[in-house]
Amino acid sequence: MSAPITIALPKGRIYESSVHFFANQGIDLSMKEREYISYDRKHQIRAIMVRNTDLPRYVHNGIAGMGIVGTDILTEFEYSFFNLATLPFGNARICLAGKENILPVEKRIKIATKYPRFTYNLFHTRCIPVEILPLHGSVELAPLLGLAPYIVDLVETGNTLKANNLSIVEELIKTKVVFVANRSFYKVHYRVVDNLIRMLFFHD
Amino acid sequence: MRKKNVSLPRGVAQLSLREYLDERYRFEQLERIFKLWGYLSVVTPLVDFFSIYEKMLTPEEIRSTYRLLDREGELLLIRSDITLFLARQIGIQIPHVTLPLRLSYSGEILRHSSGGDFVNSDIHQSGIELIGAPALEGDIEILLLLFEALDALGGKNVVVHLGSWSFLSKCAQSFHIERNTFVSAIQKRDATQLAHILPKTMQKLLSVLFFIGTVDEFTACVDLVLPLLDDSLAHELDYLLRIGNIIAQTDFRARLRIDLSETAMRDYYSGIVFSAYDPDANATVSSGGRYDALLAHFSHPTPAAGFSIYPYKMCTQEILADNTIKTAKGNNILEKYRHAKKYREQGHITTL
Repeated sequence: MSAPITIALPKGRIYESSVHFFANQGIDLSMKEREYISYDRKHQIRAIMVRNTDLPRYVHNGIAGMGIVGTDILTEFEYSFFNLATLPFGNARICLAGKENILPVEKRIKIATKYPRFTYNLFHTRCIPVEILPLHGSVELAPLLGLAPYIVDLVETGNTLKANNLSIVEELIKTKVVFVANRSFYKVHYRVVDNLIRMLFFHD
Repeated sequence: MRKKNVSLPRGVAQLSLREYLDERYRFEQLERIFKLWGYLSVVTPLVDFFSIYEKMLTPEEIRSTYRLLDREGELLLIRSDITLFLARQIGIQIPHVTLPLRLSYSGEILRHSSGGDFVNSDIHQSGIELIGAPALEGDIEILLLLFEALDALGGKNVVVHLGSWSFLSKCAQSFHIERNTFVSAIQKRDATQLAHILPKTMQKLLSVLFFIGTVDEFTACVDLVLPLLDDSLAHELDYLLRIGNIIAQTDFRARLRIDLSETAMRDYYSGIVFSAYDPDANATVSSGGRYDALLAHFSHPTPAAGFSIYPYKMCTQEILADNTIKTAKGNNILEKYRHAKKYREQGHITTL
């Protein structure tokens, strides 16, 4: 019997939807509380639950051959994965937001964000000088507490921004949730992976 | 007093003595195979003028290089790809040598590795160049040599995926698609994006562009799309099949896959492209292909093909068994010397 293939699932907002998505195709990858590894009934798939910002690293290093991840997370990495399919959930956008909905002219902009690499590249390309303050969470607090007047963050409904009296200055990119594969893993296991993708995404 | 620092600068590989010995052993195995095939070992300079290579590198490739100023203010490029540096050396000599020329190399390159991790930027690259050989025979020769080199390193499970950069380039040209967009969709195996940019009449081609499989499976796949293709595109696919059918008559039949999603790692490729994958390590352990236009930058246009191999990425557990260091026995230095001499005559590494 061949070893199970490993799929990395991200903790947080995408995890429940991912497990539900697999369950709809008859694959149970649910985990009990405090568990981080599970197997499907046939022991053909091993799921590992990792922090979403660590997930690309697990896939890049081949610990997980495949993973489900938001394209917002991938903007922070230079890794090159195969993008095998788009999941039918988790669409969002990365937005520039602040207390004021316009950017100051002729002044360096201070931005707090969970996406420092993406933010730097975007404003660098536009030749707009920025000071970036990397944060790991609760980014909306930054303008309220005076750390930075602007934030670049993931926006799904916009309710969190509204609750913190912030408004969108600009939608920077749309994001989606994708099924990615380590390039070498895919090349070696393409038949198994293609069958799985067909079963998950292209069934009748 | 300067602070003593036990660590090396970020990006520099730190090997234990044992690892270094193992690595040297692997490269000796490769050199042995290359030499048996008539590929003679050459060395290239460690630095060269950046301006010579600038036009041949993509912006991304330039960003990954390390450059420095010499004392006269000239911008120099630290070797980031041995094939490029070797092409310049060969280009200078082409008018004076008999072709085909078979060369092998082994040395360090310095290239920033993407990912933002603490990964090594100094990489040991080993490989071969076949200059001036006819395309079909030349391509088959380097593929067969690659298989034997992989075997010598204990990589009998390693598979080689063969694609065609010329087919992809001609597709982009023929369908009036911007090449980088087209290649990017193929590199990511993003079927949605590719379906979006391919002309409606060419949607059937998706099955070929994303095909991976044996030569026989590829033949069946090509038959379905052949009526859609012009002569030039059909010729490229036929060329791949000819290579595949010849390799299929060797011991390496089961280890060759046709895979049109193999794309060139460097911008100078012009014909076949291939990568070798080690299933035990989940890693790409070799890449190469044909680059007929490269030497024209330095001399006359001359057909050329080759590959680089990265043995340190391979799972090779048993290969080093005969690399154990023995210690000579004896009551004095002369006895030890005589004992060691016997061991050494049998090929063992022996210390006094």
